[in-house]
Amino acid sequence: MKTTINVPVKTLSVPLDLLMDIVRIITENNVPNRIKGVSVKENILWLDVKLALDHPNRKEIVSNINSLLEEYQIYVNGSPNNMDFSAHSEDDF
Amino acid sequence: MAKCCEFCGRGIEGFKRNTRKYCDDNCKQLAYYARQGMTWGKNELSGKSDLSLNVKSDFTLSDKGHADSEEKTFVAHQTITPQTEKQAENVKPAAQPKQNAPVRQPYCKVESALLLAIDRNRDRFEKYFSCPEQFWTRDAIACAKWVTIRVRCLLENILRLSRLGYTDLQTIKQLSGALNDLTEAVDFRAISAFYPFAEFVLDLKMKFQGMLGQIKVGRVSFHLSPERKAQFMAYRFIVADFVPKCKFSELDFSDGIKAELRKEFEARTRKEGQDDDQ
Repeated sequence: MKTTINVPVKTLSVPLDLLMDIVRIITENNVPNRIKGVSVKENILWLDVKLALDHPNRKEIVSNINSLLEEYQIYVNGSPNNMDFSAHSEDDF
Repeated sequence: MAKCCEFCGRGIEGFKRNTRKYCDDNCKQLAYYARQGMTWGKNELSGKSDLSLNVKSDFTLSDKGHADSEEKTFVAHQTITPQTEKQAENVKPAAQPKQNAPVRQPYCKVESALLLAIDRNRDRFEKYFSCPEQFWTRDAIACAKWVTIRVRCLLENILRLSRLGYTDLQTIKQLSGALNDLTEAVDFRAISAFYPFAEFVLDLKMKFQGMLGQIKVGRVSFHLSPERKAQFMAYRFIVADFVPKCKFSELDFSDGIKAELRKEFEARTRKEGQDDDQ
């Protein structure tokens, strides 16, 4: 009997300002993805990504995406004394 | 009709079909290897068995223009000869890697141009607002706060308009009027010599005045360039701890801080007077 491993699907909230960068990461690393929806009011796009556990650059991809989203959140909602924003944790992917 | 082999250049004789490209199977195989980019020795497969032609190509590749160095270059560069052709026959191409196995390639981190630009803009002025006591006196800090509250309000509103993608003439008029009043205010003029955003505010005022002159219809598209957006986001971030966020409708852009204090004093005395009457 063949054992199958379900790859968890993670939904990313990608702001329009970072759309090209996130999509570039996903396409350059051949990460399966699907557009879930958009919010015109908030200018964000919801993107479902399926990052396999045995992907060669999994750690780097997760770290890259997280760092971009977190840094953006800090600049939009934070301040120099309040930079504690974590968009996603590595375990969530 | 005489035809030549596409690989070695020799004439093809006794061919039955007119689409034949190579003189024999050896040339056909070697041509395939050449197409795949496989190299033999120091030169790529050239297919030229004519020695004079080989010397010419080596002479060109070795970048030496002297006739007496031809022999040296010929020896240094391995070219196709009948002997090397035989060696080529016995060499098999390298085994192809399995297609299903994931191949680890070095990861190239993607940097966001917007975030890098925000970092650059932030580095320039952050120190003034994180440690104002080191740069300004107490009175100057009070004036700077009065001005910066309004600057932050304008930044927030302009960024919001950019997100919407459009605006109307009335909004542009209000923003332009606010910028005019701010630059004419006593407190702005008092600190404009050393206020970090003074030049930025004056530049913004000119831009909005220019926009007013061009807009004729009610609703227009409004977008910030990436550089401008990064600048706005950086400045908003810098002042986020220095002053609170306020609504545009709650702020008066024309009076300075002393006028605000005077108004507060008058309101307080009026209230005390009413209490005394009661």
